[in-house]
Amino acid sequence: MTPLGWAIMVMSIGTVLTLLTFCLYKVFALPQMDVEESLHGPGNIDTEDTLDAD
Amino acid sequence: MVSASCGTPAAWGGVSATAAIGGSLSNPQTWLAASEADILQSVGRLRDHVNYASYLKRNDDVVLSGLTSTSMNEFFEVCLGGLITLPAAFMFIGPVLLSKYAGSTFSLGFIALPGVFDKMPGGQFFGFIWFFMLFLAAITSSISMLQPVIAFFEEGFGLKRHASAAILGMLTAGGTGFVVYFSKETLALDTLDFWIGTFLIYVLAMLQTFVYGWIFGIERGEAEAHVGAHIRIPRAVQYLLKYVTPVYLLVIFVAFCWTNLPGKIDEILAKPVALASVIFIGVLLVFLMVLVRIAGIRWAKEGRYDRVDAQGELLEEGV
Repeated sequence: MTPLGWAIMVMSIGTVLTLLTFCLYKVFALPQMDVEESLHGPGNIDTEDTLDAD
Repeated sequence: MVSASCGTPAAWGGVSATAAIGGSLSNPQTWLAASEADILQSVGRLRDHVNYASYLKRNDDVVLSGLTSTSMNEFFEVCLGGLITLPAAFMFIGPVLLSKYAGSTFSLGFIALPGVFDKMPGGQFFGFIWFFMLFLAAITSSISMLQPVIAFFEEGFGLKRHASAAILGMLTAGGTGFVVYFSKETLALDTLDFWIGTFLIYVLAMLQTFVYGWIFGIERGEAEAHVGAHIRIPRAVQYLLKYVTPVYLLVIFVAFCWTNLPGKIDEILAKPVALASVIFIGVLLVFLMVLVRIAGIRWAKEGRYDRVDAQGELLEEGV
């Protein structure tokens, strides 16, 4: 591979990796939250689509 | 995870974009395919994100969580997937044969990669692992793409989940049945793959950036995004979305239409199956647009739009 190819590959992958590292750092550095308050996954969402299903 | 990612359209798209057409950077189709590979992972996924974001509360963070999931997805699928698939296919198959397969992302994955496994020790085992992981990745990806349609039928037409799933099943059976019936040389699949998976997803990305930057507006977009956000989006990104991204996409699109579109149309006209595939796409597109229109009228009658003012702001707090 040519030096230009290496430069482009390192720059592009390095950029994505840096962004990913930054994001993960910010996510894990967040203060702890009350799970009950912040969590509202499928168990807490009532789409009402199973009511009177038949 | 990495192995499964290598089998995704994004990885193949990037590979085909690079290897395709001799990798000529002067060919707009190379840029179209490369952009599609990236768009598929970011803007293209918006169709899912719009649906899932509608289940969030108003003060939930979208910026950091969205950026984290997107960058992680980009790293695994595009970076690692491309790094593994492209050199392997290049080394085992060679540039001449690779360019033969590169016109279709499907061909590259399902014809070129078995050639790679054929020449490596324990190829049958690794080939099984590879395609099994690809199967799992496809299943989860399919569910995430089909769920928004089920939600549309449920909320747009007031249907129960059974009915929504049944209608969606009929629609998808029609599409897959068409591909299976016209399976010779995978012409129908390749045609649908290009016009939907590359061309129309690119058009969708253009529309989305145009709507965000010029209709919704970057001021409102920035304010809306920062409600409950854990990080701030640099101001420059808004200008990038308003001025640079639409121009970039538009230039490639116009160049593609100018250079490659006449040839593509000739190809379609020369092959009845390809023509039928394009007509199939058109009919389905019109059908879905009619459904969206009917759902919109139904929502208007129910007064759902009464909660939104002329600028699109919620008049009452959303749930």
